[in-house]
Amino acid sequence: MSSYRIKTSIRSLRFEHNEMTQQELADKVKCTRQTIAALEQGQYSPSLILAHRIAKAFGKSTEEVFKINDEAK
Amino acid sequence: MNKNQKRSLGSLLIWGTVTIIFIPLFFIGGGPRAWVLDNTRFIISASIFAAGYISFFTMLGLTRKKNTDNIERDERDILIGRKASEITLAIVQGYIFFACIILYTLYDKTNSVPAGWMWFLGYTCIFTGYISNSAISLILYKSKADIL
Repeated sequence: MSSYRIKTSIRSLRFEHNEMTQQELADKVKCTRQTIAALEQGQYSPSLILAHRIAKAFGKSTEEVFKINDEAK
Repeated sequence: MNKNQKRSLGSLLIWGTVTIIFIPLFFIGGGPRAWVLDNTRFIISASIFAAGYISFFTMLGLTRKKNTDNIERDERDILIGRKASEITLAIVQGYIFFACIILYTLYDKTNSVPAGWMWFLGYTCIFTGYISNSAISLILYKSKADIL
């Protein structure tokens, strides 16, 4: 059995983009600040649409922002 | 704490309080048989129940979206809401099933279940639903594990 964990580089990307706050990013991608926090902590796997919006907000591709770790259990 | 968390906490406090008041009121002075015959306790219970609903809807009104551009409910909130509802359904089903089995076992020999127990089941079924739904939502919001 294997589980998939999504690692994101949202936090570092926010700081690279003029130290953008979680709220500013949330407003840009139309979600709540709490969801951005959960994503950064790896507690939530976003929908494809949200992942695409976040990547677009940073001018990156989805693969550059989200990395899937396949952990065999 | 976002709007959904505030609502869950409010709901938990309101229905928790209503339950804490209702249960002793039901069992004091003779339990289900006496409760049905005692008009005062019958009316007090109904009033507490009504007060619970009034407080609940007031709380929903007070936490309604005001003029703000911030998103107050997104896909994660919807997912948490769905998951909490699924678990709540299982809890309420289990509660009713086991409560009915216990009543059957208790009153199998007498062939008559006091009507007060039906009222108790009715009231507590609603309390169980609201309390478990709000508690599970809060747990899911606070959960550190990647469960969603």
